[in-house]
Amino acid sequence: MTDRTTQPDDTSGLPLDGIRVLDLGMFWAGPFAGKWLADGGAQVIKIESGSHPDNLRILARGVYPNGEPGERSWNRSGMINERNRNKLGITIEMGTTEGREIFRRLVAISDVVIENFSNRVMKKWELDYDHLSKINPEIILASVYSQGSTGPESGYVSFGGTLEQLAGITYITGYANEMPGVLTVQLPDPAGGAMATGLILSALRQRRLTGKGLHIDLSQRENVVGLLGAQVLDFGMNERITERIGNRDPHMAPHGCYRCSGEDAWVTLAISSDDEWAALAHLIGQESLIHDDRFATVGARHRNHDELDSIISDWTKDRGKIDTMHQLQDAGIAAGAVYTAADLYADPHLEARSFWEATDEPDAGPHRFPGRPGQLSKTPLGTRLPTPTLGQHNEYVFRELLGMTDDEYAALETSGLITTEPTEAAQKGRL
Amino acid sequence: MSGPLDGLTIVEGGHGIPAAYCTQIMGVLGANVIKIEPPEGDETRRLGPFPNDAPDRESSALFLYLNRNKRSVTLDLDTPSGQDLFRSIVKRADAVVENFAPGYCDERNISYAALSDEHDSLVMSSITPFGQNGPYRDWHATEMTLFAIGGLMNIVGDINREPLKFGGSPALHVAGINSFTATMLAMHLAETAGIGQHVDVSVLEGLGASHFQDLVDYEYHRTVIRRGDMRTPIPTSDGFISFQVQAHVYNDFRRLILGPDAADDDRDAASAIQAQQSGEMDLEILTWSLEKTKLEAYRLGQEAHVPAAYLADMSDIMASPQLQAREFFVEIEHPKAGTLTYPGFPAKLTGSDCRFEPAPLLGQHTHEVISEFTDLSAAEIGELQAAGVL
Amino acid sequence: MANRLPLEGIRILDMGQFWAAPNAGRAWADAGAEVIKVESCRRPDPLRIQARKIYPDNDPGGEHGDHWNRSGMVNERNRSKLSLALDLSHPKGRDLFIELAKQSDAVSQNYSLGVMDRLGIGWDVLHKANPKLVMVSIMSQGLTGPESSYVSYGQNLEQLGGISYTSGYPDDEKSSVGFALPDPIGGATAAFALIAALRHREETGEGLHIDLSQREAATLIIGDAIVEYSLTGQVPPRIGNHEPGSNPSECYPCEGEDEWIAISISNDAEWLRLCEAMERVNLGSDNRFATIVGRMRNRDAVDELIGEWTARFEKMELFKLLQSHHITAGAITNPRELFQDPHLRERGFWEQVEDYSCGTQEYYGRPMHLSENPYGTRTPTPKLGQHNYEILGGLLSLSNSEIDQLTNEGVIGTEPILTAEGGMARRAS
Repeated sequence: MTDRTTQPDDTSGLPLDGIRVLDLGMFWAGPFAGKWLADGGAQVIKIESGSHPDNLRILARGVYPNGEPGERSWNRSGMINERNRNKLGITIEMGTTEGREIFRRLVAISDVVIENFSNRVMKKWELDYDHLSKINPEIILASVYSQGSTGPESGYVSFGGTLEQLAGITYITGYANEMPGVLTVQLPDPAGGAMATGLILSALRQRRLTGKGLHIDLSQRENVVGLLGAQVLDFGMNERITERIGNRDPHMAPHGCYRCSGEDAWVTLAISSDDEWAALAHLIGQESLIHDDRFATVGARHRNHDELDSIISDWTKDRGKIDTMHQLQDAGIAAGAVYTAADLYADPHLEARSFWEATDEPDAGPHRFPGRPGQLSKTPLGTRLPTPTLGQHNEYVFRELLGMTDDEYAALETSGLITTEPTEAAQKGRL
Repeated sequence: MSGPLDGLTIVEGGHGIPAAYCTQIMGVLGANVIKIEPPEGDETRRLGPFPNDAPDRESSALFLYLNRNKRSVTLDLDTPSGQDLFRSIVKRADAVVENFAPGYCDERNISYAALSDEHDSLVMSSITPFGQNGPYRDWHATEMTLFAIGGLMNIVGDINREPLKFGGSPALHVAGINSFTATMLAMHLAETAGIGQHVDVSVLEGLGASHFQDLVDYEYHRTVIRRGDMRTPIPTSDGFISFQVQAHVYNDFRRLILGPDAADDDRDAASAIQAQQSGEMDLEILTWSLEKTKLEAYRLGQEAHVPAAYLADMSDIMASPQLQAREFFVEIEHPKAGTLTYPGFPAKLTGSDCRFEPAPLLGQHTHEVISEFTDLSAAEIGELQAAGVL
Repeated sequence: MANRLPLEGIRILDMGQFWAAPNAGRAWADAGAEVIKVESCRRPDPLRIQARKIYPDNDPGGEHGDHWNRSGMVNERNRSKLSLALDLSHPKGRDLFIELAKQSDAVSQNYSLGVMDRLGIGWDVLHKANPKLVMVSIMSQGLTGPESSYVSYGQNLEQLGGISYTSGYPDDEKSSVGFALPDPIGGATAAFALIAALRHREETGEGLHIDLSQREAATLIIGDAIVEYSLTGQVPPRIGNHEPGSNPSECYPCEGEDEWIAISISNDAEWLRLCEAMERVNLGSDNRFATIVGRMRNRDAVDELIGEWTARFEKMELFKLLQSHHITAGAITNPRELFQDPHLRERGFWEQVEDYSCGTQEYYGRPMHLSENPYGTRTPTPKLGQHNYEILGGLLSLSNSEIDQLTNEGVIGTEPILTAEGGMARRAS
């Protein structure tokens, strides 16, 4: 047990207080899992290295405060700072035998290791589950793989967008009766990160029951196919391949996205009953259509959806998207304006729920980032620490947690195994 | 042990996807899930698809998938008798996962405050579109409207046309995964410290926390990202593929398309990729791709270390050599819907197995669960059934 | 076709006696069928001369001394029919019956097993004579099976059918419903079955024989209990006035002697409404009673609460009060109260009939009305043999002298031939 007074973070009372996580995650899915655990009060140590910092520190796509990379650009990347809060940050050159030895010492005092490398990396380092469990039989290794540890495609690389294609979402997304497009919101990453988190918490429970650690072999591709269960069953039931239907819905009509006044402004609405249809017709001043044979039933509305779309668009096109959303909701109709990031940040509901959390990054300054999908009543979760700068907590982790002496730590600093700056090659994008 | 959640009893209430998907995951992992349905059944029982498109409340594909491993109890929660039974069952359970509308549980005296009164370690997860408070609390929502307000729809589609929702209902399923995670977080404290609590899950906030780049673009330099011109995938002899070419694999990609002897591009990687994306190599790519199947092209790309993917439709997914090698799909026999192929579970955990039992018939376990969870006599249960409470 | 009744043009020979079959016959007759009640002087409908003798003003003789035409039980259930008194045990009677069957659409009978065959007018004979004829045999226990020859009345069928077992106070060993429920149920079932068979004949041209068991028809009434046993292996207990699913469900005393009201509360919302009706709103939030299980476990307290309250009211006033709160309640009424009931009066349930030998009487009508034409008693119950001449002359074209001859031979008649003890005469065989 470490002395709390020297700890950079106070997690007392939080659900995962006392759980230590080594987060080797890069990009999104892995770090996302680490973020949820850190929010929950675990001590999550994000492990990078000078030669291999989290790719998003370097491939920042220009997302820096005011667009300026600044002096230590690797600590100013928006995407790194959004998804690594509440973690401690250290560096270890994992490619070296000495570096991995330090990592093993951390494994011995930790509960969970998270990684989302390709399935070859941990084996190559002799840090796969078989090896880790010899160091610490109670360790939980969560591997957030692209396609799992086994099978012919297990070594393939992927991103959220490619996984959407491989798992079937892209094929069923698009305008009706047209070619598919390469459309993505990278949903597989947050979905995989959240699933990994739940599985780690489940694994902690299994460990409480059995006293033994375990390996979580998660396939992100499978996790996304799992979002399409009804479509999988439909194939078996009816030999039907789900196709693109734009914004329509098999059970609701009208159901679509309509242009509003302003640049690229849209509102969505969904009618799930005849009563809601009557409310909509009333709202748009078309009461005569309520019992019109073309629209009176959901079946008729499906058949005459194109006609309905132009009637609704005529009403929405001169109205603001946010006002229209409120008007529709006031009439009891499910509606949502198509929000941009600016709209989301300005939304009064999210404000009232204190969704946004303020951070103050050492090298990037104060910003507001999204909170989380769930809030706990007795142990409220929040942002305690900003995302660490590269290697920010080296000293605490190596000296306090591993008990290195002054001399040992000084030697480590000069060895090049730890750092607070990416190597030159890494800064040029050669990772 | 059979699963990591062995011995955990979860009571599920409400309608639709998020709560059901959350507890479906927990059931696969070994939890004992009791699904409380109104006498007319969960509304997903009425949504298709159905075998041969013949509606039947016992064979909705969506319901069958979302409710594997559960026991179904029908209760009329609009009556004090039904509410009392709900409280009795919860007394002997570990957690409640529900997606009733906000206020529904308060009106029926089955709110967290009422349920936790004699049950300190109870965890209750309430999943709603907008959360338990705030001005939009009572708003109606669907997959699409949440995808829109959540800021994701804005990014999908062609900039000259209307934005698009994702096909199916992936956002509501992800909300189920988020709920699973949030519930397990609270369960951890409940089981280790005996402190239960109320978990307020908002589907919207889950989506708001799932943006890759556009939120930080706005927060860091006030740039609003929208969808662009829609990129079309690359046709092959039998479908479509795409490449996500990055700087460090750009020359690998050139050799894949142009042949092993192709020289390195001497431009800097970023501008080369930009040129490629704006169509510079299109003809060569087409020449290469059209004589291959999508699976061949995908494999060749991946073997050359270029992130490649094929646009899989449902038949491709069912036939995927990778998913088959992982034995991802499982067959489950259901008394009404027959034997069907389902997605299995996306993870394998050392030392425990996943469980796949069929979804319950409406009210199939009412008698069994009430006998197990309450001190009611058979005659009393019979009366409640006759009165339509069960 | 404004006033055409549904079964006009259908001729039915109704050999029914007692209650079950005559009741079916009356349903067909009211609906427009020509129903000929076939009795004989040696063996009239037993209710003409035996069973409980219910006569106008308790006077059997009346003006003409024809007490067999004054039996209330016969006159109540044989309205709208014609009467032919034909001795079927006489060869000529049998032959005439077969001739009539050739010109009829259906025969209905509820004799014991084998009687029709012994008389020489069994199904085989009649079917051969008229292949399009439909026959309904309303049997005690059906035409087949080891107990098919056993004799019965409605009340012992209640026991055999299982109704009696499920009725009565929970603690009592013995029980009976006390009226012959299987008779009206058997009759109603037969009425339906015959219509279905006639439809079949219309489509196929084939007659058929309906084998109807009153015991089985009666067993349908306790279907829930039967299903419970077959699914659970448990024999449901006697539960008195308790209606499954209703708590409470009981008879409560009202003002006066032996005056009662039945109240049945089938859900929690109804319990709240009862509390309102009782002006005891605070009871509604009493946790002991708010749920079904609570009311079951505190049944005595619930019954006491309600009973104390109901005893302060006249039952019909209370009935109206409870109904105004949408609570399922019913006052226990006797025949006098039924006759006076304004609701039944307004719907025209009671029918005034000018009986041939009893003067003006009031009988119950039918529990339904047809929207397009009148549906009810067309003529009073016929006197024994009242239409002998009309039927034999009209349908079989016998001359008056031929019919006179039959009368003289005792094949037809208008007066029962009774034994010295007042019982029915049997032809020496």
